[in-house]
Amino acid sequence: MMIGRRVLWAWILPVLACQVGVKGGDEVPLAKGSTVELTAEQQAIALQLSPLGPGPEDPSNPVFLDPAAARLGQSLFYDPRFSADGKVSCATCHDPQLGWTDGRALAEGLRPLRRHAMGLWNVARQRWFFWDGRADSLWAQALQPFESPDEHGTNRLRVLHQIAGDDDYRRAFEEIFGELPALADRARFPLDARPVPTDEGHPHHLAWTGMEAGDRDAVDRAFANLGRAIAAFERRLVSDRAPFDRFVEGLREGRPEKLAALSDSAVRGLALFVGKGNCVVCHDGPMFSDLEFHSNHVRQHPASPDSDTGRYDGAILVRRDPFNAEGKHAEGASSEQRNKVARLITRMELWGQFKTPSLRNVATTAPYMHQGQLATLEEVVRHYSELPPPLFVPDLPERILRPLHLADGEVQDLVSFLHSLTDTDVAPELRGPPSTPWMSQP
Amino acid sequence: MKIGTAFLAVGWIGVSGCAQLETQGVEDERRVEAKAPEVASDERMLLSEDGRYLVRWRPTPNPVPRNEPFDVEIAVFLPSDPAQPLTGCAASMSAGMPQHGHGMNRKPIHEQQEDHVRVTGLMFHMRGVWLVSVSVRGPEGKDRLQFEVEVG
Repeated sequence: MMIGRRVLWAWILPVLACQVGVKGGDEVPLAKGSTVELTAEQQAIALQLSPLGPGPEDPSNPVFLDPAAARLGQSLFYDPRFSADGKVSCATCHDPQLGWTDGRALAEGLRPLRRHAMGLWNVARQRWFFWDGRADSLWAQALQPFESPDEHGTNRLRVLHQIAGDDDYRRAFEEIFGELPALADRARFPLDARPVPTDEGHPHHLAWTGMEAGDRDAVDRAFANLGRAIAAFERRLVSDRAPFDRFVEGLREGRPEKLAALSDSAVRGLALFVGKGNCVVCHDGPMFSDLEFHSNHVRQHPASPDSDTGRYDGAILVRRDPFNAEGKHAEGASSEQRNKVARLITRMELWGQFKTPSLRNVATTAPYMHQGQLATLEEVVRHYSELPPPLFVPDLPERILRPLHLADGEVQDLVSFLHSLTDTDVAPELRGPPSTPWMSQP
Repeated sequence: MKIGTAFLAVGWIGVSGCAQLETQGVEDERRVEAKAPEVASDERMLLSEDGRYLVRWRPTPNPVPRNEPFDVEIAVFLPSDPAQPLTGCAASMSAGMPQHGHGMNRKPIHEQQEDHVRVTGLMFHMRGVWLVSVSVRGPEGKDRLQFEVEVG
């Protein structure tokens, strides 16, 4: 990043000096006899990829850092009762044992979905959510699966009635957010209702439009708070102590024992990643993602023959999302949060683009790509090595993409490097539901 | 981009000095090579294509950050008076990555100020060369200019 260039060089040079002049051969077992080279430019880029650092704040979510909200969110995340068949929870597709994804090519809620389930590691650091970025905040994202007919298949009124009818959930919710709407009044708050703008004759839509505007607002406000609680939980899914992070510490501090965190193969892979491979152009920064959208020529999954417009529709949908940062339920949203939606450009070149996934813990989240089309990391690297032509005419290609023509050894080196981004150490208590959704007060 | 020669020299002296102090075992180390540091500014003062204006393009923060929002102030001068910005000149800018075939993902907002135009909400979301195009309309008519900004 150019902003840090002066600062960067101010400490790179002393570090380089130390590396050349201070490190003794026996103190660097990994490097002893090594033929691995990293140019200063490659090192400078590597230094920009770690540490992960603190995540961004979310001014539109006042409970983002609230432990009680996180506990409620964790309960909701793992609870299958908030689905039409009582069997689907967030964890169905975001299994903590499977890298917070599901191991399938195409995710499956109540029915098979058309895209792969994204992993949740460091998800609070994303700028957009879903493969097509149709949500602009983590809490707004968390709401959509509840009402997707193929995922949880429920609706906001049904969910809120369940919360109100469960002593534990009600207590947790009201301790954090205050009183629920007067849901016992079924004439005002029907059991099932939600907006269905694509089917205005849908019974849920009719029930929704039959409600008073003020009651709809109250429901939306409470529903949004459930999303905020889930976001407070998901914020805790942090992976920032991978071997690569230790290696970068070694670069920064001139510590040979930390440089040994990466094998020679992984260091060669790093050199390719930031050099010949140009991977870093999209997989940039400590998230190993530019957080934006690109087309990468990957074929459609055979079970999903329809053309997937990706970001083209995603950009339209996020502008329409009533829970986006411009909406009335995003009180407190920062100007940057509002601007990123308000100033979003929708144009043809977004057709077929999908979000650049983070590569942290990528080795634990197979299969890969937006429809899980590629089973292994080696297949992914070979995809970019050979690079098929663009998929269809509207799929405007990234001109920067060229076949890399990697040798077999280079493919393995890149895979080794990708494995060095693995850190699945997360508090064990986050890997399952808490005993209660509420937090005992001291 | 210019090279900070003095700083570079100091850096190289530091590197080579350390290397001379302790050279044993160096051949076992991962080899590194220092590269010239660069002046950290993306501000430009350039003549427009037909020579009608000098245009100052001043980003904030400076240098342009990668994948973070930034703003720009565009001020227009007559080449004969590069100290006094013209008032009431219209200016607009766009930017893209020719090597990639895409532009910015956000539409910037242009606000006319007395002696400059303030452009807010810009974001260069990828590293590499961005081609900036600026159009100007003032007392000498319309003119434009293009220049590159390398985001690293």
